[in-house]
Amino acid sequence: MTIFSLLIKVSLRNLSLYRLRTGMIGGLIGFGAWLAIIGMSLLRDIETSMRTSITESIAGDLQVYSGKAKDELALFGGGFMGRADIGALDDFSVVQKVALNHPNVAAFIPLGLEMAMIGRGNEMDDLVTSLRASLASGDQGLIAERLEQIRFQIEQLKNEQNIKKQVVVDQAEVDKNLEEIQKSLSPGFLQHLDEERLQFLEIKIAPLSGEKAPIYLAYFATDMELYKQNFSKFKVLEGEELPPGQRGLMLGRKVREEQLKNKVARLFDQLHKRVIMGGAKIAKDDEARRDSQDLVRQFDQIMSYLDRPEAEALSQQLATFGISGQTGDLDLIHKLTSQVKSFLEVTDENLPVRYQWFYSNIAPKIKLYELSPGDTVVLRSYTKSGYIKSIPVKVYGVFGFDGLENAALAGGLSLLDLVTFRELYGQMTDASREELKAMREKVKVREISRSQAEDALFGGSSPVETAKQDAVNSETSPEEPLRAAPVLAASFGSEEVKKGLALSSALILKDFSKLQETAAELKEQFKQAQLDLRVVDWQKAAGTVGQFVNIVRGVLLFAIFIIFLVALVIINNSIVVSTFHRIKEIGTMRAIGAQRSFVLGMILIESGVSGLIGASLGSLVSWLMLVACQRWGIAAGNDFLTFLFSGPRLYPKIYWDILLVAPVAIGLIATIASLYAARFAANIAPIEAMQERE
Amino acid sequence: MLTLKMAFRNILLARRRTLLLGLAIALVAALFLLLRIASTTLSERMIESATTLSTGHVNVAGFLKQRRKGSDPIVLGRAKLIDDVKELLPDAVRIIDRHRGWGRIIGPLSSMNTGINGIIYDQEQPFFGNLKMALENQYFEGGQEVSKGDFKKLIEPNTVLLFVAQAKKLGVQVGDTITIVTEASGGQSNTADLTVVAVAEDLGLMSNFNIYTSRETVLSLYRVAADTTGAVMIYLKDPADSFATMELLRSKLKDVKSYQMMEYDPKPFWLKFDKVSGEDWLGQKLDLTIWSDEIAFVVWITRALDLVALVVIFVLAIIIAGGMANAMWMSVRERTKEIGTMRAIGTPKSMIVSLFLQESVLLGVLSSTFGVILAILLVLGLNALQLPIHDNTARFFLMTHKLVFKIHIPSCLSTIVLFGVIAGLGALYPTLKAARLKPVDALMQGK
Repeated sequence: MTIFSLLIKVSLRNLSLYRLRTGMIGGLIGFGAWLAIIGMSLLRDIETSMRTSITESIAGDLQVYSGKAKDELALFGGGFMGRADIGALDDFSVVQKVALNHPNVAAFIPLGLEMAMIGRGNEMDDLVTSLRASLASGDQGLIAERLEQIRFQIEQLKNEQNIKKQVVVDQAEVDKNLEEIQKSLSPGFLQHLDEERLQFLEIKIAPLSGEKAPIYLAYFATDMELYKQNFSKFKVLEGEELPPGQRGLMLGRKVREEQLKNKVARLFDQLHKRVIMGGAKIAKDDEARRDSQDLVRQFDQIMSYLDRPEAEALSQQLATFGISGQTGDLDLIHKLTSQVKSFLEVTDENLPVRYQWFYSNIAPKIKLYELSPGDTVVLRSYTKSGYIKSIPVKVYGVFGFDGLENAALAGGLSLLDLVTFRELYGQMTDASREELKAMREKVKVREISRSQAEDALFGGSSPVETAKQDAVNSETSPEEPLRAAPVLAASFGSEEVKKGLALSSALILKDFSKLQETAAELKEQFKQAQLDLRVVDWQKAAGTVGQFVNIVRGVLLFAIFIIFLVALVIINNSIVVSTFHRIKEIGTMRAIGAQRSFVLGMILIESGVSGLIGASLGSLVSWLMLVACQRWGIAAGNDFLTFLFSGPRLYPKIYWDILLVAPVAIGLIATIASLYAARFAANIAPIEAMQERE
Repeated sequence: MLTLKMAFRNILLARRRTLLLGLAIALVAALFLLLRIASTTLSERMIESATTLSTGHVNVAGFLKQRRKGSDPIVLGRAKLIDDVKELLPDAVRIIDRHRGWGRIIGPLSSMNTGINGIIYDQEQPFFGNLKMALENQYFEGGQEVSKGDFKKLIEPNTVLLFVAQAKKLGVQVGDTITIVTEASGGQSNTADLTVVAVAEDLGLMSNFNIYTSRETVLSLYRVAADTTGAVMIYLKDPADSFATMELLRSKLKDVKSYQMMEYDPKPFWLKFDKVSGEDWLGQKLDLTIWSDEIAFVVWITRALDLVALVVIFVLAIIIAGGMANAMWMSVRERTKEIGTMRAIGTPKSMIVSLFLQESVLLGVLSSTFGVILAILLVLGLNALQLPIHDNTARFFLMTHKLVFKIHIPSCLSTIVLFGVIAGLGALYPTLKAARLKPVDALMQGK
């Protein structure tokens, strides 16, 4: 029997002898292993999902932008509202050429990240347009219906003006409006419509109904072909892909779902997510309760989209569904309103059924989304100097990213063609310079300085003189809707997107692991080519959001570190304390000939083995938990977690390296932590054993 | 008293063990306190900058639906509303009102979107008191190291107060003019030129999103009548009363003063436009919120931090309790004979229990006191250094430009109490076990 096997035997005997201590140390280490494995696995999951949703949507691995930038590039938002000033790459093809020379750069994709407002049109305008269409068709029933709608709208406008009168300074203006409304409501006015009266409705009445509050749309513009080749997760969900060489817009799925969807549908979606998927109860959960109360108040978001036949059909269907409204109510609209309102009164019990019913029966009848493929929308944007420019573009489709359906970051952007972007940005093209020249000749008297030229051209609704007026109050006349003729035709040559202005560029690397080296080498290359550029990695490019990943990681690692530190102190402490207790025993062992190294080994093996057992148990438990989580997912209880998880549930992956390395590392650390105690024990002299307590 | 003396003596006797365990407890207590200090400092910074910049403790705001599909953050009948609020809340420290707007400001270098606050100079002394006029070289390269500008000039119309980050980005100094473009809900826009009369030091992230101009300027930008306001902001003696006060005010305004009220929705007002626009009513409704609702978009940062701190502390408490139990266990076993002797000479069980409990609680209290002192010294040291925060992201989340922490005596004391309790709880089981020993067994076992 060798010394070694004796050592093992003695150690194991001690372990079973001092079961409490073994259990205590093993338990602590097991807990530590569990914490480390779960924490690090989840952290890696979160980081991976964040990284994919950033790099594989727009950022690429590296981003290049102008060295003249005043702000740092922040693809997903920085510290201010509105655009960050990141300068511009006047001609990205120059940069492209240099960048592609680097052996590790696989692709170079020009980007223009910007914000635009969506003009949402004017309801009265739309009504008069459809009235004109019905007049042309000669369908008497249809004409009567449109007229009824218009009369209803005008009555509304009258109420609105009366409220406006309480707020505004200019009472005379409101009185004038009311007079005109009265004129259009006068007997016979709507019955005998001629061109003059139609124009009166369009010019005098329609503007009073105003436009809905604009929606802010964050978009990125790019070379569609190049983008598609390099961002393989991109996929068209509805409509068609933006064809190369065409002006157009593609909506991000998430933007459309969260900003452009009918409010009733959105509230149903929120309740579905929170109550049906998340397991909250309307009766108990404040947010779900508020959403359900809001749902009833938004009934008009269904009513206002129905025409008479649809309203009749819906009323019938609701009656069949079991909601018949007040009996004896003859007026259809009145009856349907009460039906819809009681349909929208959802409870924990009826929500699943009503959610389904809404989507199968009501949704097809209403305009579920404010914008759909095929629509044309007016994009408004502030040019660099702060004035508004408007351009109409066609919506081609809706897109998303494979596997990133719920990621907040990737879904938050829409896609625009590069040429339209350049105009919204306020870049002078050859065509616009021509137009400016013509414009100058037209207004020979007024000298337009270089800096104002752009505004004169792109100012759209805000003519230069408006901005230059000293008076506080200068208002765009409401008769002049925000409209600007496109400078270019609907299509453009494909070479337009191969060079020219971009704000930044995404670089895709062949070997991702050489990210930092490549960034440094590129910087050097650009310097040599006398290009003043900045190169940043995806995380830095993502702005606050990217840094956020760092902060989360920092906080988590710090927490794990602290817990570990304390656990180690406690482990060390308990081993030392237990060694005190065994002074006599160890002294005796030494007295009968055990070497110091034997005692040292004994204590180390003891803590090593109990550590190993604990750590194995800890990793076993973590593995079981991860398997369970993988099956059911971890619900994101709040918005913060939803953001971190890039979705409502996180399905953690099992990382075998963490699962194997973490327990070994922790067992090892525990053993090292017991070194102090072991050395202390090894130094016990045989004599002490005899003296200690008699 | 006797047991306490004995407990103390025992601690001193077992010096090595005491020292080890005590150090562990002290370290954890220090960490615990540091985490708490960090998290309270952050929430206080947040409440301070929020209540200075954009919200009262309780706000009486509202929406005016002039159009069925629209919503404006305007409240009619300003004078009566303020009188009513003053009558209903006689104890409020301060009641002021501001107009609310939204627009784009344009300077020579850049432009940005921002919230517009229309203020009445005479009401806003505490606001100006919380601001610090910036030195010219803070926002303008080559500027002098003097603060130019004068808050008083905000009395005049068409003047504006900016913050350093804004002035820097726009490229303006005191005396320059910026253009403001507002977007009214009808798709119309108005513009005005405003003279920059003061540039104040940043107040964390939220000062990026706000500018201040006179009430008259906002009135004329939106062309609304004088007897309107945006929000009546109420400041209380104790911000902790905000919610209760709001609830009281809500029921009184509704029942006694017959105002039309919106349901409580804890979100900032600018997230409610969409909702209100979709509702089917015209006219005026009041909307009451408390300060944390108006900054709900940043409050989650402190919530998340608190959550992490809570989890860490919970885990640490378990570990500490475990360590304590282990140490006491050892100590009980070591002293079995002593216990037996005490029992043999007639010491009651309860006294043994209280002796051991007192011993561990004393250890917990003494070491955590040491830890607390350590943490306080560390924080005082850090505060003395006045470390500037350079990283933008850290500024964004910490809402401050200098690393300065606040120490609250109650949280120091409660830390000590908490660790005493944890230590006591950890010692409970071994102690009970010790007390249950029969004197004769105890004496035998000790051999």
